[in-house]
Amino acid sequence: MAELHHAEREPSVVAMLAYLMLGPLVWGLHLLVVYGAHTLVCALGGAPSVSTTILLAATAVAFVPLALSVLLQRRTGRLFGIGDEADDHRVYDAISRTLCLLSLFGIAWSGIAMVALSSCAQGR
Amino acid sequence: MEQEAKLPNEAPRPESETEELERIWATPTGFRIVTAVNNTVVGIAYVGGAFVFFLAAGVLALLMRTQLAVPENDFLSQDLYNQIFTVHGTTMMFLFAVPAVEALGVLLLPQMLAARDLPFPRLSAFAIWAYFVGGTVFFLTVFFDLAPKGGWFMYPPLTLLEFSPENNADFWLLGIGFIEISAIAGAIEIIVGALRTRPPGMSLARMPIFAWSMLVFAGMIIVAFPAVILATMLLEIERAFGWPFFTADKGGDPLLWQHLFWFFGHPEVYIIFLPAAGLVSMIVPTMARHPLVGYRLIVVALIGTAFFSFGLWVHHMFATGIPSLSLGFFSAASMAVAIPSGIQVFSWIATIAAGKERFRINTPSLFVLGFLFIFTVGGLTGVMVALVPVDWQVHDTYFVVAHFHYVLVGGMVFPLFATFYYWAPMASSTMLSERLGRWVFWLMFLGFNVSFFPMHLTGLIGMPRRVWTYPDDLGWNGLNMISTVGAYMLAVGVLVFVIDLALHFRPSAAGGKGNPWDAGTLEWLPGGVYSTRSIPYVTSREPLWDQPNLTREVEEGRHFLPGAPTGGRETIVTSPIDARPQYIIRMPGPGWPQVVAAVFMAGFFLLLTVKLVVPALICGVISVASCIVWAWGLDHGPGTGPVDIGAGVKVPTYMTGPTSHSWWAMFVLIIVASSLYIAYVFSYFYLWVVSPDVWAPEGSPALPDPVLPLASALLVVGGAASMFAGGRLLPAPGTRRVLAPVFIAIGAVCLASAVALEAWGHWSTGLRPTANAYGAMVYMASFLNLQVGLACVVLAGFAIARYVAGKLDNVRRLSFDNAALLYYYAVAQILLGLVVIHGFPRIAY
Repeated sequence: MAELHHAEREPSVVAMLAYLMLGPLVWGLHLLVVYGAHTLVCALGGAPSVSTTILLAATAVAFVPLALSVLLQRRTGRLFGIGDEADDHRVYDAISRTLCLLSLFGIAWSGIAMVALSSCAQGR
Repeated sequence: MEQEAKLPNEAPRPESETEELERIWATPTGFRIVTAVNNTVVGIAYVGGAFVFFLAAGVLALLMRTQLAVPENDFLSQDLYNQIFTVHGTTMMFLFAVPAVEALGVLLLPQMLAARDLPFPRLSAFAIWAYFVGGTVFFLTVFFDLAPKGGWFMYPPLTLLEFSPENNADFWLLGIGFIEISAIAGAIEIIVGALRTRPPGMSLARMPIFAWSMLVFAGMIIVAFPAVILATMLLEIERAFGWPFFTADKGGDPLLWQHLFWFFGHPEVYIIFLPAAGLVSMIVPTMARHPLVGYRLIVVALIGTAFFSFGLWVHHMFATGIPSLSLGFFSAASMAVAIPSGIQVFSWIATIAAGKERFRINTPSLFVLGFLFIFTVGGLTGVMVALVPVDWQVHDTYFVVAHFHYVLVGGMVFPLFATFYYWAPMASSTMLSERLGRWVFWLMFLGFNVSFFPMHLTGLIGMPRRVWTYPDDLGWNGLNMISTVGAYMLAVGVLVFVIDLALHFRPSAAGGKGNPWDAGTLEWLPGGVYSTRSIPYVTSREPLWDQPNLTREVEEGRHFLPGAPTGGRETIVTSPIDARPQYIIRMPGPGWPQVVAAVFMAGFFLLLTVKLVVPALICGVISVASCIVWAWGLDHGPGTGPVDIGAGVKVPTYMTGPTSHSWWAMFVLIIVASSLYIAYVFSYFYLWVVSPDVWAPEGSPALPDPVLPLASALLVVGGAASMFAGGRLLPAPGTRRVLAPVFIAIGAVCLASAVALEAWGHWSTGLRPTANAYGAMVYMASFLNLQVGLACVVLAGFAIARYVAGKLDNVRRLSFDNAALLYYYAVAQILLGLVVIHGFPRIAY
């Protein structure tokens, strides 16, 4: 019961939520950017190549740091203030890592659509 | 003996402790039962109410299936059929599914966390009364030819005044908008409850999966529901005042409704499913007698599903002419969501397989197995309709009807029936019948599949949704007859359940049948109206399995808070991550204000629907007055100072600032408000994107002089500074400092002036909200600012009144802190609005 008295080891709740949801947050931002940029460029009559370039850049910008955070999971945890001494940090690392992997998959999957489909073309 | 010496409190405890707990937590009797706020009473009533709506909507389904049993049937008229399918869908989604899972949160969550109650008991009671009254009136419209006819998604232009001139659509818009407020109230309660009222030692990593799922569920509600609340506001304002948000020839767009509706509507499916999955994750380990395999993966799946579900809304709009690449993004996300859902299914199967003993087959586990089968089929057809070409082929056919019933009935109704049979012994002094339960399962399982599986085929051969009848020669006759027979079989299953309930369910707020399943989680601890005798110290995810003496120790009062040190209703507030005790929360008991507030708020919305404005306003005033009476008694002040709860832990009985639960609740409410405003900003830019050539339309007045928005900005920033100063100048207890309320009042006046100045600025240029969608959007920003501004003014007035009454000082300051927090948010919202409304058009042209 001694741990009940060590409040100083407890990470901030905002940092913990951000750490756990890091992957999905980046995935959500990526979807927002690619969908928003593509819609905007097409609606304003921009060149499809502009849309494709933005989408490729957004996918790379989302993918690389997230992949790095998976490779350096513990270091990422410390960055969010979840130190090695924090209770259950391994559980939180595992949850964050798996969500990042899932999100990487989602980002890559959306990114693949760019390769297969032309920007601004109507499907029907 | 050594282990016992480490327990937080010594035994034996005085008998008077239990007697005092029973007295404090006693449930009102007779007609005063409506004033009860205990989560057990409110939770059972809430579940009961949701189940009644399920039965009522089920009867409507039977009427529809009767109509469709044979071709060219005239059992129901076309118009009544339209009303019935709209009320069926709306009731199932808004009055049954979401309230049912929220009700289970109210009922089960405090028990699983061994908390004496949720942190805002009157808020839960308010939510259910609002829901009962609003829901009942909405449902009854079907008997008076007043029910909406636009389907549960109420697409414009069909629901615009031109095509739906009667009040029917308004009942949907105002009724459902109001019920969503009730759902949001419940979600705030659940978030704060799950994060702040866990027992000492129950860190996030030890939290029961159901608590995780309810946390994710409530988080989804506060982000998703505001989008549809905004949509209903826009549509109702267009219908009532002619602001053309959805009228294409005035620059509006009916597709804006679809975007807003489905940004809520798709997550809604997971809002319903995830808590049900959480329930399954609690039942499976008990029946397998093995801890859940892949606890972390299930948490991943819950969070992942929640996020992905917000990236799928466009898959309901694949047929609306969106560019193919955008379809690709949403098709990818729609398929990706199957992965976290699949993780859960495999985890449950692995848990069943991992048990050393054979998986127990009884009614709850049969319903779980039925859920696994039906939900998996629904998930597979979901992946099919995520593929754009397949979606185009089956769009608006009975294939989609089959798909979503497999997902929703499989994913929610079957786990709910498993829940009824599994947790009935916790809430009832007698168990439900195992023999009747098996009849219920088999009738429902076979009936469901006989009814809905053929609909895949009916859809594939071309039968569209929502048709009231069909010609004889299209080859649909046999399949429709089979579906109708299945529907009646399903209904007989539900009827047997109702009989079982009537024969065997005996609600008991004072505890049920012990732990008949030998489960490992805390809701099976013995207890009374006060929940558990003492609040356990938890060291694992299945405390009753891993701490074999826990039941006895808790019952002997040897864990935390064995008595009532403040002499009132209270529970322990713990830290959000590691669950370290932080303070004692003092909670209100039974009372009338929340009942009166809910009933009259329902009256306000419903009378407004039938255009009885004056009676509606009277109801609104009574409701607000009741809320003020309710809130007046909540801030007790520091009271007697810190109390010992056990293990040498002394905690305060009063808390302000970011640690306090009321600050958390206000913060969550601000997330709701900001979600609503973000949905508005999206709508503004969406309408610009679809018709940039008419934004603003040629001939529109120029924007107001920049001095006006600048003055508004200065007013709100100055007002924020004034509020801040008011907080710093609050006097010490027992003293007076008149500058504090003066600064608070200045803050309120500044905010109100800024909102008025902004609206007047546009009006003075000649811009009118009815002229075109641009004008409507500009005034809508002011309307949303007026809403939040009005709330700030009321809260500031409340804080001033408490100062005058000697109940506000620099220690006892909850009412001020809440007002200030909302005020700072309002300032941010208004500044963002000024940038969008005044800045964007200047950049765009």
